[in-house]
Amino acid sequence: MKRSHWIIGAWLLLLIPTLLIGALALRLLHNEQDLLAESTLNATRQRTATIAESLDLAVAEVKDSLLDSLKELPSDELEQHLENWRLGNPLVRNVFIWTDKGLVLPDPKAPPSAEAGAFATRYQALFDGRILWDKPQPDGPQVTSPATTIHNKAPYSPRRELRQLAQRLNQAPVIAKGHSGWLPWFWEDRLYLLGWQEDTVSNRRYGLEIEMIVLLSRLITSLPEPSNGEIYALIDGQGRIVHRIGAGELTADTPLLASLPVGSHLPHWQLRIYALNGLDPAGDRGLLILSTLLVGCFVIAMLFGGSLLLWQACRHMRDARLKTSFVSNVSHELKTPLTTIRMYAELLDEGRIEGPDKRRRYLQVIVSESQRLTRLVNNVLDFSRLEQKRKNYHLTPLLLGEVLEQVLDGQAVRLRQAGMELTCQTPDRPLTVKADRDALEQVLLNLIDNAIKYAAQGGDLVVELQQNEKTAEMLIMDSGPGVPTSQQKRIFLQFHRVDNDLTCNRPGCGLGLSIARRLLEDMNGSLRYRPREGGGACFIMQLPLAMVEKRN
Amino acid sequence: MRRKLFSLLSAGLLLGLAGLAQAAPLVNCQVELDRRVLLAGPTQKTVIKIALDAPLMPLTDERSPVNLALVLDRSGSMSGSKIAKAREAAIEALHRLGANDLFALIAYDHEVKTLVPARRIKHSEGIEAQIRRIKPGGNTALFGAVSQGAAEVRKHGDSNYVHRVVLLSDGLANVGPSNPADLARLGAALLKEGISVTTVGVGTDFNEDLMTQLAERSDGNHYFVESSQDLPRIFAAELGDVLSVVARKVIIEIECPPGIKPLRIIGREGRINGQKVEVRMNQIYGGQQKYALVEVEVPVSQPGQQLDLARVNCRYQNALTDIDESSTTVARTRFSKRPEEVRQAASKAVQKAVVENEMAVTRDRALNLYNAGRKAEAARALREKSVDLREQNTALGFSDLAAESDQLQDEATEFEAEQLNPTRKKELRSESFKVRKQQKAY
Repeated sequence: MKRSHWIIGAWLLLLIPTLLIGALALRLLHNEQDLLAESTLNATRQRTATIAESLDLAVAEVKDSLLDSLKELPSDELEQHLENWRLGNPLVRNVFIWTDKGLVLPDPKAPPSAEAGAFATRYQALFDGRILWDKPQPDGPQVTSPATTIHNKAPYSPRRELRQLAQRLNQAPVIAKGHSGWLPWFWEDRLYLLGWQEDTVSNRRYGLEIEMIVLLSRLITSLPEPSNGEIYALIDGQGRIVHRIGAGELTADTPLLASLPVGSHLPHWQLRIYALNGLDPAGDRGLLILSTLLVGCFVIAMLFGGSLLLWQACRHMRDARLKTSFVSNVSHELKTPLTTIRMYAELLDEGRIEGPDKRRRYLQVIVSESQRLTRLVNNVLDFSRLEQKRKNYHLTPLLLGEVLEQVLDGQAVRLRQAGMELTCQTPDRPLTVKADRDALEQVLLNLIDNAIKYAAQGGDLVVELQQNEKTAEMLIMDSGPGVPTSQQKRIFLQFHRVDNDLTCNRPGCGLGLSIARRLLEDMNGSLRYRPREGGGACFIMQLPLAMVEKRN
Repeated sequence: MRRKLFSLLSAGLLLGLAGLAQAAPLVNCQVELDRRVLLAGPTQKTVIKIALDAPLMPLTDERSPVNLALVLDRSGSMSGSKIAKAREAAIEALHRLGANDLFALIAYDHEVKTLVPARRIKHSEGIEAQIRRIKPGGNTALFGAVSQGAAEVRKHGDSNYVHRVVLLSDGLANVGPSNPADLARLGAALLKEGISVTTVGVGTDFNEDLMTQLAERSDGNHYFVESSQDLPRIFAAELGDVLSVVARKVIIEIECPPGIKPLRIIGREGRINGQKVEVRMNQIYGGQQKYALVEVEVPVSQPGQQLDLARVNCRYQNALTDIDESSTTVARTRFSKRPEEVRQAASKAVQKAVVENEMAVTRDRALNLYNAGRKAEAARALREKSVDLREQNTALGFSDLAAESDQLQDEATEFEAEQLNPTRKKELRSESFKVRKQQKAY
């Protein structure tokens, strides 16, 4: 018992660390996965910011260049120059000249084209003076007011910084000619950009309106190619997708990775990055699955190996125990008849026995005891042969009834001595089975022995022969205590005996039934147990009918 | 030996001829009035037709190199025979290009994919394989696709190529800007860069307003292809045009002397600024005539008086030599008090052009009204114009032209019907486009 404790202890020592290692590994894996996802997300945000910034700066550069061109326009024949500019430059949608009295170019009363008329209407509030010409945009150095800085929580950007530095140096000459700036204008759900220049000499303002569709058309073709599984989308102020790049369908359910405003030059515009697979890209998930599988395999292998060892150890212990009890049983079994034989032989040898009847009875006892000894030794021999699979069978057609009769005749004396009543029911037709005669006799002997052992003193033994379709069936029933339900499956195991009480009272070594079943199975038959109705045991023995008879 | 000599001789002859041709302006600018003689009397309106003719190019290998971007729709609606025919057509176009031409291929659904960036075609097999791999599926990102096509063309924008984007679409643009007016302005901006967009509308589901306006404002062609079977033929026609460009960046300036008031340009887009009228075309194809119709108001006149109506200056870049050329002509009229004489001097060709263009413009206007849900107004506009043209032509004695204008009456009835068939709308649009732009029949 102590050894089994040791074994279980050792197994637990294996089990607990294994489970711990497995759990730890899984946890670490998950952490790693989270870290990866987070770094992906961060990288994506960074990328979004970079793209948004480059878009913003591109717009800023366009604005700067247009404003520079505007400044360089000669003041004389300004109208013609502006017109030529509009006709030649795809980025210029409309040009205008404005004085305090109102719009000069295009003429709002007789616009040269529908577009010019729409332009005049669009900016009427501005040209009428209802809305002030704004200061230059927040990006310009003049207006880096605290409010806008707080509002724009954009991280430090060297590129932006460099641009602002350049603008600061440029500041002086700008003032020489007059103020200039950009005005974002929202009209009918759309964004328009109006650039203007003040001419202090002639006291007028002139400028241009950017052709947004062209600016957009240029911007979207300069967007970088997204990495696999990502979609970049440029969203305008109304939440409409202006452009998207990247393979795959964009639906309402597509997870949004990052969304950043493009910047002050395109107010309310956003750049969004969607990931088709959510946060963790496919490759990393594969790694997770693989690692989990490996950890799982490791844990299972460890547990399986441990359990196998434990099972082996338990089996060895049980076998050892059974063999020990077997040896002691066999010794006991051998000792009892030997003692009897020796005692009676000594009595006879001393010659003090008087009367031939008594002597004959003593001799009979010696004979029966030695027969018992022979059976016992036969069983042990059979057992070892069966164990080593060296048992040979000579299968011949036998008349089952005849064999049964012979065995019962041979045992009649024992049965009578045990005070048992024998009932034998055989069918009229002879049953021929294919079996080995010795083995069959051995089986019958073992079964009758069992009955005598457990149902002696007033019990009865019923033997019934039946014929089934392909088999001959023999029922051997006794009126003994029977077999408890819990033990019914195990009575045919070698060395097994029902319980210790019985083992104490009845001789035996737990081989009889086991040997009987194995012999029968070797001869293509079977042996089953079922409780006898009204108490007692019933063993059912089946043997295949010989083919000869079947053909007849 | 003799053959060599002969070929040398003929080459020399051709060179000489080419030299001769270079001396004279390549594009012939002609001015014609609808009535050479006007009826003396109060102020009246007359139409000046400025026609630009260019000869067919003498040698094919002398033509201007082409910078072509093919933009193919591969949205889900293109699946089946449409995409197969589009692929075939693209390969057809590819085969017509020469060693000096540039080719770019862009396919778009909801995303825009540049399959072949702009490059010279050395081995067309690789590109053909690319074209054959195009599979349909997805939405229609038309704006992005045109932008990308233009970006590919722009890579070589500084060189003297014939810049052209050919856009094929069969559906409504549903990713990005899709307003016809926006796309029209994009077209106008591309024209400033010398890039024309030819639009090919397949089937009956595309937005004809968007497609025609984009083509019109960028001075490209527009084709309405109801059955995809015709696609290879259409592409061949388009390539035929593109490969025969003889003049680029054409600017027609019409300056009217004081007293003459330019009223409008019939059919084409242009700009009237005071006494100046300007019409721009991106290119002129060899063997095809393009013209502009300008209506002017003539002041009170006396019989026997002669009057200069306009000075026409046509500037362009010779696509064969890359040299800027120009030609100038004057439109002059005479006044008479005899209606008989006026009638005899009327030009049927000009009047026919006027009638066709007036009809086309009216159809476009009617369609716009119809699309805006003003059905009755659309029909009325058609009827009024029909009556107007009939009167005008009957007065001049062109009864067949007067009969032609009756077509508008029938169309007015069509417009009043329950619903105008989308196919019919596309037919009207493309027909009107063809007339106003003098696009070759396809």
